[in-house]
Amino acid sequence: MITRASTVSAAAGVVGRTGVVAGVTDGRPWLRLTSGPLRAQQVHARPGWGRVALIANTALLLGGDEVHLDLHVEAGARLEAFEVAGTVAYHGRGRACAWSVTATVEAGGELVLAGEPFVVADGADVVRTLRLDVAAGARVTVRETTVLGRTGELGGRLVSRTAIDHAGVPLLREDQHLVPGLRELPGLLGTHRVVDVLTVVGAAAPATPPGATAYPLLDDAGALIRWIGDDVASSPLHRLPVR
Amino acid sequence: MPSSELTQAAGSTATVPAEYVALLLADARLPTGAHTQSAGLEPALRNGMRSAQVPDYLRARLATVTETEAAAAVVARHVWLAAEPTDRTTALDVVDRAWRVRTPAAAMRAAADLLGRGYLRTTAALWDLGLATGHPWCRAVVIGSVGAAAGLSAAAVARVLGYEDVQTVVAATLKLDPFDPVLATRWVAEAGAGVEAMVARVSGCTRADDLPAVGAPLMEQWAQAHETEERRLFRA
Repeated sequence: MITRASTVSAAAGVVGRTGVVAGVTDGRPWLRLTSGPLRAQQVHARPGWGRVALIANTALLLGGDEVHLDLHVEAGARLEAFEVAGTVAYHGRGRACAWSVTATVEAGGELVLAGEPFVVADGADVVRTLRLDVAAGARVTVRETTVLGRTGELGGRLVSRTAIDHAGVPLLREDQHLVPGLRELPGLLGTHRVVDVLTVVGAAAPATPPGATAYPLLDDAGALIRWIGDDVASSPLHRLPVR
Repeated sequence: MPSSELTQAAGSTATVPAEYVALLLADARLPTGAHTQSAGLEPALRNGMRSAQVPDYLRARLATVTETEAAAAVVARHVWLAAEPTDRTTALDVVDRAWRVRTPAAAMRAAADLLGRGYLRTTAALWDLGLATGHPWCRAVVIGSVGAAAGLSAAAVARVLGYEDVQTVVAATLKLDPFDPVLATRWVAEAGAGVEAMVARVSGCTRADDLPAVGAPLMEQWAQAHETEERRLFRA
């Protein structure tokens, strides 16, 4: 059974940062890991890569929690980070929570971030943020899967913000206000519950699988591949190799 | 009423009041190519939306893509007024880019570029705006510029965008799934409160960085799919 970290009172919420720095020195990859609400665990990697599993250290995500993940890939380094399990944002009992990922990838660097489903339960009030700063000549692939509600639920409030800079200039700014009362409108999500996105910056995106939609990014800098549907298992993005 | 800077340009002799220009810009009979547009309505119907949901569809647009477009027009107006005439083209390029960065669906960008070209061609033939762009500008930037030159307020510019979007959707519904035009007009009238709320949200925008970026995931998906549809009445 997972218990809340004893040093943090549940009333205050878990607030903390997890950091991963990936570098390469004399051809040898290295990692510098800082654990917070998520534990960053180095695992076996392909040659030339650093590989990190992200594991919740405590019960996440409750009202008042703020989980930040900072990834930094130095020039020429390669990092694959992956979540081991999905995350549920639980009923916040009137309090909001936040989940933010910030990644900086320097020239010649490569980042693969493979998320697992992020479930917004009834009563949750979540702001999710993804910030990518991708240098010219760097490559980034991010998989993000958000699910509104556990089985039988409609799901809580989700505001999802994405900001991508590439080669020093803004490439994409996208906020999704998936809050009850708005998201049901035609053209937003309607009755759908799952938004599954593969973001590729600085490299050609894989072929778009049937049922998903490709959105080429400006400046031929990559693409978003997005699927909107009713259950995670049906997503055609599972068939895409994340790296 | 402010009289227009437009009147000083070649080819125009009469004074054109700002309010008159606002009506002109929102008039579907202005030859801009707007008749080829349904503001996503045709792909929405193709993907299962019912005509009766059009008022909700209008609400969805006013909270998302239309708000972004109107805000871009407001910022373009501000930039046009604030920049030295020789710097206007460069400054407006920044606004145009900021709008593109907030519009992930290439099909939506293409539709706005087509309209931008149409508005620029029409208005530039009447008045010399002194703008020299080497590439297409989205409709919002062109309308913001013309609005600035014509003496329109920020709110008036945003209202033109909002009203035009509402009318485009409802007029396209009448063509694709004919019903009582009086009911259609009621929808347009009832959307007015939502347009005004949107106008209030965006009228204070002055910087490209301030632009809202609220997306409409299904609209974007439908727009992308519509581009490759073989049987369509509207381009977008």
